[in-house]
Amino acid sequence: MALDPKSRARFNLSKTVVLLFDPTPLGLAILTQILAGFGARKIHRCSTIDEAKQCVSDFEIDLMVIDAMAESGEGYDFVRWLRANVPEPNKHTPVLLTAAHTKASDVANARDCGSHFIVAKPLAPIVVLERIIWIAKEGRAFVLSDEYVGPDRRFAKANPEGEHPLRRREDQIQLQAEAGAPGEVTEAPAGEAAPAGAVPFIDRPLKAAS
Amino acid sequence: MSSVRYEFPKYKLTQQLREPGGLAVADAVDGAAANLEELRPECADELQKAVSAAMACFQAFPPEFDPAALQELYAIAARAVGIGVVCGAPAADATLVSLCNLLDHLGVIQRWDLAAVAVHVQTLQLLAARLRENLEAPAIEQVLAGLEKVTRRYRLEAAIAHAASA
Repeated sequence: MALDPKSRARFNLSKTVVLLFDPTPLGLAILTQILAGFGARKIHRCSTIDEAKQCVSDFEIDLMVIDAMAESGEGYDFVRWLRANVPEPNKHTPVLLTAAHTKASDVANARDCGSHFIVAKPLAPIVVLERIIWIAKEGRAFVLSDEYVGPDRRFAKANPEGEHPLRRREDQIQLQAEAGAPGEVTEAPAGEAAPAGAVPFIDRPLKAAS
Repeated sequence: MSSVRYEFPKYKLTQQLREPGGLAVADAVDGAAANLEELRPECADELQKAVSAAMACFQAFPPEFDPAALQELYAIAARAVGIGVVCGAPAADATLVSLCNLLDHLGVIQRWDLAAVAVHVQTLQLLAARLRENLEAPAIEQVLAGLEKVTRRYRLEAAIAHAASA
């Protein structure tokens, strides 16, 4: 089931440090508006690869949304650099790549650069949110080999499902807003009372990648 | 011999998403849409500029295949994808993606088809010029289906050429 845009299930990005990279001012503004709408407050905006590299060196980043740069493919190179050269914790940071288009010659590069997910532009806020929630799930192995460093690209019923084309049907993101609905509930930690009227964030852990 | 290691990192993002407070999905999506609405005039201007740049670039195309000219138009089109949907012209985004596909295919097989490129650029001009008018959805769908047909003509040939060169 795809993430329902009318869902009352809650999520919290207010403490998440986000790095956004897009080489066009408007592309960067669109990303910023979407993430700000989701409640993200700590946003680093980068319009060049050098700025993004500097930011990764200076700050601990919790989420990166990186434009692939269709014409040059430099976004893929940045993710590859991140995985190969940057120390933890940023080495492992979830990366969502956005792509206006993927050239035939870049398909392998896109697959092998080490991002967690690629989202095609134009960006729909609900799809971006769905992918952020999905890549945050634990249980997906991180592979370190001579040829590839990044999240395991093999899935065991772990892809998001939805009405979006090319998404695997058997995979699930479960966000259920109705109290008492079946599913595993992630309770707030002891001593941290949820605000009145809050609906707990409900999900199901991923199976470990095969 | 190459070695493979597996790690299972703990993401701070996972815990952050689950912290109390935050936003409901519906409110977040509405908030993002409202924020994007603020960019509508800017996106409309930028789309017009991108279309003008695409037309100028196309008009300067040499008669023979030229990878540099093709790459220039590809870059203009790719950079503009995503603007249309914000300023109420999602068909412009679909046209730009179709143009990117076409140019990529032509680049792989190293062939010029000026008519195929022209129909894409002219469609962009039409969509940008009629931004404030509501073009009928069936008419737009027909136009987009026509562009897809034009691009599809080269898809298989490009795939074969790409596989052969790989």
